[in-house]
Amino acid sequence: MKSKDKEKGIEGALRRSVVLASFMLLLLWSPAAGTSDFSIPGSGGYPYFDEAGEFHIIYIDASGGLSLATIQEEGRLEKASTRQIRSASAIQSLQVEKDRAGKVWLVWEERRAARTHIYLAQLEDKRLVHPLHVSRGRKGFNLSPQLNISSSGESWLTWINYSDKIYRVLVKNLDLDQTWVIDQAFSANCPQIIIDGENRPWVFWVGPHRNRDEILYSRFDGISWTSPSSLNDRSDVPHVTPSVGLDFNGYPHVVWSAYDDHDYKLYYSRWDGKAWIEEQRITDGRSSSDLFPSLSLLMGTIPAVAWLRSNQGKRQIYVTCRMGEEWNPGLPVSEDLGDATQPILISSGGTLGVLWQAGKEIKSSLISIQNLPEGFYTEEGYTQHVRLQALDRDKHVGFGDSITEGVIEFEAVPEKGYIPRLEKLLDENLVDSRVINRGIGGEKTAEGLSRIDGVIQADQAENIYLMEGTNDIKDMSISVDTMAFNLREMARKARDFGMTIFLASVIPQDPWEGIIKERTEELNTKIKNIASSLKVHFVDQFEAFGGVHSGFLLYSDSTHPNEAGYQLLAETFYDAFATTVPYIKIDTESLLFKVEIGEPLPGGQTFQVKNSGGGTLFYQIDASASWIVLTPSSGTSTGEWDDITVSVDASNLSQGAYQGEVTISSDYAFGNPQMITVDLSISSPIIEVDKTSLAFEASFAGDNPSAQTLRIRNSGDGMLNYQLGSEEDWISVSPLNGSSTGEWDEVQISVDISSLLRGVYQGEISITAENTPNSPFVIAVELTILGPHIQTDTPSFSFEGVRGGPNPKPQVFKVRNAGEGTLNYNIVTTKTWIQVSPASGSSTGEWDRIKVSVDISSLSAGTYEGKVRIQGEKASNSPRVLNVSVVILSPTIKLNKTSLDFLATAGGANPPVKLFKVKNTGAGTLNYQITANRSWINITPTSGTSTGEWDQIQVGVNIADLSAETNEGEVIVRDENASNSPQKLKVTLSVQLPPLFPPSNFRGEKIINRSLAQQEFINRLTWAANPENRFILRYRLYLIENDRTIFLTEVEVQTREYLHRRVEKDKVYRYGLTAVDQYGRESEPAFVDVG
Amino acid sequence: MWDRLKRTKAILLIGIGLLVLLSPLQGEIARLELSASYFYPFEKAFRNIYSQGANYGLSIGRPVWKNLEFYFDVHYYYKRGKLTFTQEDTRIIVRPIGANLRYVFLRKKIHLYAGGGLTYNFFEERNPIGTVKESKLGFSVRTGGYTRITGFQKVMKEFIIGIYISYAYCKMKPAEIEFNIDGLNTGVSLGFAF
Repeated sequence: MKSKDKEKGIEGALRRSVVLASFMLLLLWSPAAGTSDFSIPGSGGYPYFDEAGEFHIIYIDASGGLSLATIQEEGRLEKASTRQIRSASAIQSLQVEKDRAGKVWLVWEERRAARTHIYLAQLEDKRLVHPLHVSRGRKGFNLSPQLNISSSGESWLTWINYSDKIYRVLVKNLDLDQTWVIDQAFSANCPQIIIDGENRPWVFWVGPHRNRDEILYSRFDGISWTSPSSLNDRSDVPHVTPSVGLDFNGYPHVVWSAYDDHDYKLYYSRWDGKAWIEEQRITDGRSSSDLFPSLSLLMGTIPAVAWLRSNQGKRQIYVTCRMGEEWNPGLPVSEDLGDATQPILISSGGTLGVLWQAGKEIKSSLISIQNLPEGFYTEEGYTQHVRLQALDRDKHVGFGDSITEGVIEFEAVPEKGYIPRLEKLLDENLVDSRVINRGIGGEKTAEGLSRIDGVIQADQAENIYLMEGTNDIKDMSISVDTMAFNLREMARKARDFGMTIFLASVIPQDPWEGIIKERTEELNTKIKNIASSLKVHFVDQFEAFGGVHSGFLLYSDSTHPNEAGYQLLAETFYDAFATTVPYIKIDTESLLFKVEIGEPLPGGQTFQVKNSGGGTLFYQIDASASWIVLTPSSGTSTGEWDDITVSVDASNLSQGAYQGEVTISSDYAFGNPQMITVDLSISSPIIEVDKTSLAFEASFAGDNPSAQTLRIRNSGDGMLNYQLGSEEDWISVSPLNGSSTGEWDEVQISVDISSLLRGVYQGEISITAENTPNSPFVIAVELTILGPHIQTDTPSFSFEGVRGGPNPKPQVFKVRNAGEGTLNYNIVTTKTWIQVSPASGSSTGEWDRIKVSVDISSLSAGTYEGKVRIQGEKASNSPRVLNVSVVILSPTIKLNKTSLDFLATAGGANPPVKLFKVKNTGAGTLNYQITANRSWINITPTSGTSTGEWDQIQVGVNIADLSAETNEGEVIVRDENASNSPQKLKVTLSVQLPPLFPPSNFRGEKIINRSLAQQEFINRLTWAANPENRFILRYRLYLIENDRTIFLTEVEVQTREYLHRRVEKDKVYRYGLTAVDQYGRESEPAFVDVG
Repeated sequence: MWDRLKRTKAILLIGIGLLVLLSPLQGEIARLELSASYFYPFEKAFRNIYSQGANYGLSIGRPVWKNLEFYFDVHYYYKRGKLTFTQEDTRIIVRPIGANLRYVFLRKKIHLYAGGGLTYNFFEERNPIGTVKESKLGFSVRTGGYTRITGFQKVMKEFIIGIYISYAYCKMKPAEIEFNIDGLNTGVSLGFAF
């Protein structure tokens, strides 16, 4: 057994080598041209290469029959010749398979009434021969047939049978005419069959094995089929549309599409003889969906895949292959296709043939493997979609397929679709809105799932109307569960973005029967459940359309509505949206407040606000007047009544009537805004009197005048409680308070003159009342008192004399009666040194002369004050007082200097004398004496007199006994009669040391001092005493070398010579000599150079 | 090294003297003389600083061939002086050692001779400037006369009294000053033969 395996291994290796070598040769010989494109009107095409390497396509032609197209080369141009091989019939899901002999076999489904059948036929001489109804006896729908013929010529067929809402995966051995049901479930699709190198058939299909759709497979072991197993790893996301191929080892390879939490990508795995290798992701992570892969193994060695890439509405066919262990990044082989179906990939040698549907044409391309891009794909990160700002509430997005785009009779007419109709409804009934058309014709939910991220990011709209799935329903390779999964993911993404989602059921399509009807109803049920679980708005367009395809009433073709249908779609969406729009409702239209000044403010009044529409009402409440107080000023309601309290603040308002408004507003609500009128009435009492002033007249010291009557009443509202009062003591009021509701009250006003003098007096009576706008009310009162009045021509007198001198000259003043009647007066003084004459008199208006004199004989120097009092009988200003002042003058010492400064040198002569002057600046004669408080001060003269002239005084100092320091003393000038005696003069004597000079005649010479054998050089230095110096004790001699001063010696003052011995012969020496005095001071040096 | 060389010269000179004196050249006796002389230096500075002075000597000699005598003498000259400017004390000591030959050309009552030889002079000067010592080779010439007085056989063979005049020359520079201690000695000698 082992040697047999070993032989197989060797054979396999040899075979691989041969194939690889052939492949390399093929690559070298392949035409340099890259792709060659063909286009044929038709649909449902399937390609194959014949034994000669010619490229053929069998397809459903415009009549519904099958035709054969052969691509012929003419130079660099290729043309296709076509030939019909079967007349018109409802053919779909065509597949072509070649057997080992090169015979071409076709398998397809044909729809008849409410069921479909599977047919098999051979293409012979470009004609179909012996069509065989292979699904005979299988009721319901027989779908998606796949044929595979083994190397031994054994034919196996697999397909899906759907009946009684059960999907069955069937496999039939056409040679044995034996059929197996290898799986049955509520969902199954996309069966694929391959016969491995050991002649064992493998069947792959899509079914919900664990949770979501998965890639399932089963293998026939010669007797029975293995239990279905899952090929993929994850079970929480859909895995769909597998495509299988067989390598030259006879091992199956599988590629499929699966959701990766963002969009759909392609995955790959292969059987290594024992197990499936770990699945590989083979397309990158950009925001696109990679769908409907078709696998072919080049030369049985290199896996190549063609697929449909849908990127933001742009559809392209891509081809990639695996080079070594890496997949290249893929080559787009088509332009943007718009409406495209899944591609079919076949290979012959190093050439790949790709076929796909584009609109009403079949397109194909031949690709040399050389033209596939090098490198391998790398996983790229997804763009994180984030909200850049608050979503635009007035912006709406319609997202979906051709029904959203707006297609009528298969022609795109967006202006007639539901989008503009919805926008119009919103504009007319709500606010100016914008509805963006994001519909893509032919789009399936897997494509929409990759597209929606870009749409919600780009539009930043608040609302999205999501309706998609119609195209998926017609595609039996997609299960309803996967459609629902895709729609749920789209809704989830929009919801996570913060959008308001209106998830719509899909509308019926023709033929409204059989599997289409059942898949539609099943999908709509799931859509409703999705809306419920995600808590988004469910819009039942299916129900709005009556749950049937109503033909020309609402449809323009089998799938798309007509204008009435689109209007119905728009209105249904509008109604759904309208249920989310709030409506402001209030329970009252006006409020009334009454306030009486002085009374407590009335309590607040309440009104109610609620949202009688949909969604949440966010409202704002504003008042037009500052006296209106609102609590609260904003709120939200989802249907409940909110209480709003309105109160008034009348503290700054006066009596009167006021009106304001309360506005309840919400920008996005119906009934915006709502208004409530607020009325306020304020009332109070008013003070009214019968007179506004009172006047009284009386004689000084006579009787009080008669009292007068004042009348008071309330001319306003309510009760006036008033008080009366005056700040003047002479005014009396009785009674002091009262009240009035409109009647007059009398009040007595009297004055008391007993404490008042002659004159005119002004006063006020104030009437005060609380909460009364004209309170306090003031009444003016004037009182006039008559009588005599003393008047003089001067208020005071001033006298001046010298102490001991004669009395000053007397002065005269005049007095008279300036008031009424006769003034009898007498005059007294407050000081004995003041005399008046005469001392009494009378006046009826004429002036009397009075003499005033003073006696200073007993007064010393200074200023004296006294008064003259004029007392008049019944005079209101008696006594009249006149002030008298006398100034007695005296001598005053005046010095012309305050200090004298002397400067002397110790040991020297006394400094010159200095002078100062003395004089009398006061009155009389100044007799002064001058003394000093220091013995070293000499004064000449020591006494003198002055009547105003300056006397000159000499001051000398004696430094004999003074040391070198600053000495201070005073010169004192005295006169006991002087007002400012004594006066002092500060004397400062600074005794300084004499200056110190360098010695004189400082000289030097160099002298030789020798014996017989020896000699030395001596610098002989001599000097003389400086005659300017005093107190010199010694001399100091320095040697100055290199800016360094070296002390040599210090000699006594008698010394005048110094010998500096053993000096160098040729060196110049510099010496400095200073003198030092007895104070330790050292003079500046004298210098000499000796060389 | 230099001191060793000078010492070697002195020893050599003394050695030659002793060799000559003690060699059995003739049977005549040797003589020993003391001398005192007045030294007049020719160097002016010498005279200014130290002036003239007494010079004392000791010589011992013996005939070596006919009228030719060899004698070995030592002198001592000590003098105090004043430095030229500071007038401070300065002292000088000169001690020449000589190896001489003299020829007696008259042998009557009065013997006259003339001769000369090499001297080795030890010089030393001390004063506040410093102390210097120097040894230097020089020469001297001498002429004089003497008379012999006999009659003292119990004590000596004869008594010798003489006068002489000599000139010595020796130039040296022990410090920064070069000078010559040459000068004229005029003196008397007293000696005896034995």
